Amino acid sequence: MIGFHVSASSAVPTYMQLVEQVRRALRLGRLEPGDRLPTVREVAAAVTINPNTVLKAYRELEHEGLVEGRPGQGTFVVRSLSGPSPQTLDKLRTSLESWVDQARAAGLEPVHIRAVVDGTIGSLLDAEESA
Amino acid sequence: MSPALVADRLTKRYRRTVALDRCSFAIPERTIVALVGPNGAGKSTLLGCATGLVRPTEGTVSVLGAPVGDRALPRVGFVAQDAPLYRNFTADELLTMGAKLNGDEFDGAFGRARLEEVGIPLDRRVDRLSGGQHAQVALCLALAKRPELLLLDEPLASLDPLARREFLSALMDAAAERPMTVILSSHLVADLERVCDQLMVLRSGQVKVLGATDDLQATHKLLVGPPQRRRPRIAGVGQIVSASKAERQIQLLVRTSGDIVDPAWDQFDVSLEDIVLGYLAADRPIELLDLEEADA
Amino acid sequence: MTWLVWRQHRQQLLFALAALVALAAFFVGTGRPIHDRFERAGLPDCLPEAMQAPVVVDLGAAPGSPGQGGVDDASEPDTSELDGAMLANGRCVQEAREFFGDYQNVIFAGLLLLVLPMLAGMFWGAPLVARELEDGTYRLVWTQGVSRMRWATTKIGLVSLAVLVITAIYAGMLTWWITPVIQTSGQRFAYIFFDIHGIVVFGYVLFALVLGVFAGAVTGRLLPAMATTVVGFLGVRLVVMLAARNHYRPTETRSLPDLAAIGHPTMRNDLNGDWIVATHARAGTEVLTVHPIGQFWAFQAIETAIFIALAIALLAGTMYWIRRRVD
Repeated sequence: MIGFHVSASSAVPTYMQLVEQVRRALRLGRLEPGDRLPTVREVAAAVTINPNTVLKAYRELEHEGLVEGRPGQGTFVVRSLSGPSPQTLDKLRTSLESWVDQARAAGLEPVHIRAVVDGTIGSLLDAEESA
Repeated sequence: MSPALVADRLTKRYRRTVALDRCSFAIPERTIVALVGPNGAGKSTLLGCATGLVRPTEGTVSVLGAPVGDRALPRVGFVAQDAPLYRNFTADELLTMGAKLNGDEFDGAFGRARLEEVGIPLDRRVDRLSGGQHAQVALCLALAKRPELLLLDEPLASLDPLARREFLSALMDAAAERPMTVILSSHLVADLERVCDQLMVLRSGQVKVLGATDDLQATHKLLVGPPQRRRPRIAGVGQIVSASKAERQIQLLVRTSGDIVDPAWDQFDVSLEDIVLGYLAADRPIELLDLEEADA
Repeated sequence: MTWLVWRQHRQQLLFALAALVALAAFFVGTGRPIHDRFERAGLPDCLPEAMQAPVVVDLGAAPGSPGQGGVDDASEPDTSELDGAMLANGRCVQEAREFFGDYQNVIFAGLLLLVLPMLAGMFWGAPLVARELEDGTYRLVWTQGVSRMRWATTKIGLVSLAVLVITAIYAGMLTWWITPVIQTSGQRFAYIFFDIHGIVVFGYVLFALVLGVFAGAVTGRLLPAMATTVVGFLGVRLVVMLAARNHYRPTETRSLPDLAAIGHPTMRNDLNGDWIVATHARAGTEVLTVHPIGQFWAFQAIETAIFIALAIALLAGTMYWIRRRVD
């Protein structure tokens, strides 16, 4: 079962945060087709958000074809998001860890490491996303 | 879908003060409304008019399509400020009272089940409950009416953060379970941001703004720019809601009419709190800018 | 609504009932000896008649001279010259006077009955509405499905009923207990005595109760309401008692017979019970301006009616105030 968290300080609208968290869970394999999402009521009460917001998120997910609402039963995941296998993810994680070790060994403070990472990733991914 | 609460030039005057000043508004059904304003803005008076505790001086108010009165009351749940309850009653006795006073629509079993879910003992006297539990009992009593409209007057005011969360959680659960219109008044916005989908700002007895929170956030921006000599004209700005100045810059809350592309101004998205503050600020923002003229 | 009134006031009711039981024990315990003595003195038999006549033989005086001799002087005077209805049984009167002399302190218990209505007003009437206003619970109970009017009438009605029943029981017990003393006092009509028996207590209680409710509704706070009840109740009671009561019915004039004409000293019969408003001497006898004892119940009825009318007026005022009350 997915547990949602809403960040009040984020610029992203609440319902989008929920949508992204479902997408993320799908990508990471934490949700699989056939899983049932928590009910609107459960999410609204657990996360303390407006039920309409949850409804909006679920509708968006339905619109994207990721979930399907079955009356009387709940909302179910129907599609997985293509993504790398857990092994691939592990390999990537390991290589990232070794890079961080290299950076520390080179004498970078955590702050610098973050700056380098954010800057590099930022420009790379921005270029990709706007392409 | 008829509106849950309609006011037409609603006015309430006391001997020396005007609590409500020709308020006209319609609150749609099945929304959760944050009624925000400073102390003395008229929030309690407005809720009082909707429950019959306050008789309007002028104008009309109707709830759920019917005039305010005893017949509408079983469909309207209400928790007054400080959640008044009979202190030597147990929660169980309060629910019995509710059943005796409200007739068939009152669902005592539902109320008792809810209290058990939240872990509140039914046979403990109200004056032996914690603040959070007290608030939950009051909420439960109102919800047991199975109301179509729920009015809460500053329900979070005296609760600690954990109790606030639990209260809002219970409220969201109830709102999800059954379609209901909720109006929550508060003088703090932060509590209500993620819970409400409508915002109503009240100041000095007047409605400054009423709208869906999504819409409001989409149509308002915070602009920061250099001090101005006169009222700035910025493309894409429909209305300047408020202005505040610092030494080398001024900040405007604006309602947009299109995209703002003026490079002289930094744009920021607004939080609900920004919107509330903006609409609560001085009624004549232009005055501030006039002061600049005197300075320069 | 009935359930709610019961639940809110059950402690008060139980307390009052407990007090009643305690008082019953006291009354029965101490009343038995009083009644026994009363009966042994033969008073229940001779008193009704003895109370009628305006004149009685002064057994304390020797024949022909006033103020001498004792009770044992058994010689009854020649009263053939007097109308039988004018002369009371001297011995009976004497017994009554002695009885009263011994037990007159009992009257002090009657003072409790004077205070009871005021207490009802302070502790049952004043909190009825004031408490709800002060605690803010009116915001809870007036927003359920019951109209304010129905809420008020049910609350006031049921509490009044309970108070009247309790008053009836209390008054009944007290009356039984205190009747011998009142009868031998000859002062049935007098201030205090008049107030503590008969039916007037019901008028006082209703008035005090509704006064308390009214004060509570208008002031919205318990202590000012209680204070207002005390002051209002005492004020009105005193005014009615001292200024109005005398005028309920016109007085009558009663002349006592020429007492010197009788061979044996006689005197006015104190047991008579008439309310003597004024006296003046005339040629060896007295002329009295009285409200005759026969008017006692008429006066009781009138005074009760006055207080009930005041209660009704205050009730109307209370209803009006509650209806108009806004935050």
